[in-house]
Amino acid sequence: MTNSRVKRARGALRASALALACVGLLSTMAANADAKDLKLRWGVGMEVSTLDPAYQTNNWELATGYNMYDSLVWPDAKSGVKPWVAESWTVSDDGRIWTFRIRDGLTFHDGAPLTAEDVAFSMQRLLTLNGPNATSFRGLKPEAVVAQDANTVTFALDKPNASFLAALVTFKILNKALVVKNLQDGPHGEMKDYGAAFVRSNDAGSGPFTLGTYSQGELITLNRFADYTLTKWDEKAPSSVELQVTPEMATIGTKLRAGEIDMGDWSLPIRVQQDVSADERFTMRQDPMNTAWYLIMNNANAPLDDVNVRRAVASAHDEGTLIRNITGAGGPMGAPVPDAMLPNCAPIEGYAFDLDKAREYLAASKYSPEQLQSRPLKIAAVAGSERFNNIALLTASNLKKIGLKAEVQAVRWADITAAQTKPETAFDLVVFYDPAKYNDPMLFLSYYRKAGWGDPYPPGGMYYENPTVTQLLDKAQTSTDIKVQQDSYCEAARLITEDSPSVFSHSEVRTTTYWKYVSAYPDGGGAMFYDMRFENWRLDPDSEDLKRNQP
Amino acid sequence: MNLNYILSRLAQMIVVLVGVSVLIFVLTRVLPGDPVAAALGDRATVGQMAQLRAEMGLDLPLWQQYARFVTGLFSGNMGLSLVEKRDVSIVIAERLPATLELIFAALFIAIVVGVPLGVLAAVNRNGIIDQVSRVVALFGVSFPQFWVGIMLQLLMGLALAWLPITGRSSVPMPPAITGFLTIDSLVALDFTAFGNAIRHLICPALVLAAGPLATIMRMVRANMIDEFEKPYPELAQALGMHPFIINFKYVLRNAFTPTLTLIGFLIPIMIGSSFVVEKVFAWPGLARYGADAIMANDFNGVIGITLVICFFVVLLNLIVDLLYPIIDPRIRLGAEK
Repeated sequence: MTNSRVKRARGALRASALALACVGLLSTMAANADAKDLKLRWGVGMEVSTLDPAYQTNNWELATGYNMYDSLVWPDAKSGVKPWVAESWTVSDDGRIWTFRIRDGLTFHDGAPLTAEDVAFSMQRLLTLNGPNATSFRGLKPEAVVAQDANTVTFALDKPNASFLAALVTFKILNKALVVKNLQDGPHGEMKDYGAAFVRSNDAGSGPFTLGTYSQGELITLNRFADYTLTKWDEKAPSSVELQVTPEMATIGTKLRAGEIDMGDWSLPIRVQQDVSADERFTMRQDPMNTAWYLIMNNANAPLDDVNVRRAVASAHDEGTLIRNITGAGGPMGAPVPDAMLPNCAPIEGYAFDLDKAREYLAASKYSPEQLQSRPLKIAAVAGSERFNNIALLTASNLKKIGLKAEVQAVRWADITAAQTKPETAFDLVVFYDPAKYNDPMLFLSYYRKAGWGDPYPPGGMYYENPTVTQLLDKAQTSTDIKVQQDSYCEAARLITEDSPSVFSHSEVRTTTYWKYVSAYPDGGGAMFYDMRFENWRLDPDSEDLKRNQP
Repeated sequence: MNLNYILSRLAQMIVVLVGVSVLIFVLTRVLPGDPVAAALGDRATVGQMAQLRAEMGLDLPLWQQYARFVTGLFSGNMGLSLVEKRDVSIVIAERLPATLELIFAALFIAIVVGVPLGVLAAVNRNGIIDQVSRVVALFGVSFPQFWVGIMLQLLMGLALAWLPITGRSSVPMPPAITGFLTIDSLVALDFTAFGNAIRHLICPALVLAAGPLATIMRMVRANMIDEFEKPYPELAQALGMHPFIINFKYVLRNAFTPTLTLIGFLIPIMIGSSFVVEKVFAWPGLARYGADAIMANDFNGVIGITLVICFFVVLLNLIVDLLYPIIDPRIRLGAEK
């Protein structure tokens, strides 16, 4: 081989190596680009009307807020909560003063450090604005929240509250400097509107996702917060999340199958779920929730003021048919609290579907058959909801079988809550489900005592009281001993079930349908929306379906 | 144009708007249902409700509430929407263009397709075209919009994948000038955005247009047939005039006045029925917000939307009245003088 040939061969070899290196580099860049562009698109049925954690109420508002903001603690199914923004905490001997130590090195999305001052400000703001999410902190006043130093914040409760620590999973921390910089006119002294106008549509958080687009009624885009330190970003975690507001469930089913979204709403009708789940490209996942379905009874009015009539109604409730044909899924709930929230209680015997038994209860009531037939029981179902209406119709049908008249009324939610505030206007029965945002039985049990009477909420219209139950619930709420709390809750649940003040139908099983390339749907630790923290989700970038759906 | 006539109609419009505002204001407050409890969601306390009620002025006497509302109106403030948690005027400003764009697109389809079809059906009375148009009309008025919308989504979005299933756009849009995405994108010379906006408009506009199209078609057909009974079309034919000129220039023009009246009435009906279309196609418009506001007893939202819709209905009817003499020279306002 001549020198020139050798040179040419070497040159060709160099060129080939360079080309290969370029190809390799480009491939890596392409792979990185893919990793950067992993998008999770979720079709949601309701509007995200606000981004302000103080005012967020519906599932999708809260899911958005939980990704933009962080909390002091993270829910844990076994221990209740575990450290998160707070690295540790202590409680005084009298159970009133809670002291939290804030972790170092955390930052908000604008780069500002997260300090105890931000935590104190956020709780003071929540309590002062007194919006829907302040309800969990009734025994706390704004002035009782103090930042002791950059890393220490104390909360002084009016009295011991066993629910306080668990409730903190719903409390979100805002960037004080940013909010104060954007105050507008308002009624709160030097804090003016406490940043309500700004926070409603802007980002003041430190959570794993920052706000991208907020087009109300249409689209919310969240982008990965690269500097987030509380979770290590996985390369398959979504780089952005889209919430596409699509109010019609049938349309969400079509969009899902067409690949316009990767995941459907939780409320897809059974027929749509069945269509989608029959397609092997999709996963239909069912998760038990701490959400209880009830038929709230008005215990103040005849004939439901008679325990035997209430027991008859409970025995005529056919939750099997309901779960099979209406909700599509459901878990056991013999008592007023989903079984999963009181795992250590001795089994509580509820009322199985038995029409003969129901007739026996009716026969034992103080009312004659004529009196029982004298007026129809009014069953309220939230207007516009097929599920609620079908449950009410099933109930009415079964009540007729045991000799009770019943009529179904489709009523707006606003009208139901207004009617429940007085015993004379409260409906005889209201179809209702109650979600627990965190793992605390008291969220459900607080309505089974006089303090809950007349609250503008369906169980506020129950008007039930049993002095022993009240004592037990008070004891549980003021005790710091977990065993005392659990025992009190169990005994209260048993007594309530005996009195049958409402029909305890079933616990919710949430059905989520999504493309198979979506995975790692995480455990929420017994609290709502923590399983929707998208940094813990994964998308398979090698999936052909993903490449086709997101070209 | 008679200026006095226009001014008197504008004065009537103000009277109507004031009357409607009083009526709807009183109605929303006397009907049952507590908007505050609904807005506060789960487990609201009595204290929270009282605070929000005071912030919204709902604890004031009714006349003071109305005075406060009217005062706010003059400064462009319609009060807090409990559904959207921001001022109603902002919500309306943001959502109204979406609804109007949809309605105008649907009206455009209904007129551009309905009128020629009506003419063809009248010219071919009892012929094949007439029979087909009758079936089309029957289809348009009898199939529910909800069903037609879902079928179109399944066909055009899922099976053929030609058109998007929901929304107004799926590409970045130029800055809003009018709020009409088609106009804004054209003004910005962004033809990608324009094409994208048109593709999103087609299905919902078709669904919304179906009923009005059928109505316009049948109305044009009936009035054209009436006109054909008169001697002038025959005379024109005898004079050797081309049938197209006779039908479209003379007969249609004379037959169009009742159709114009009908179009004036169709617009408020379309605003009402656009709720279904906006829901099925996730169209972020005013009608969808209106339905949510009614369900949640959102006083300020209901009043604001009612006033805006009322304003447009009165305005569009005025425009229709002013169009009469332009389309039909026989009608001259004040001719009796």
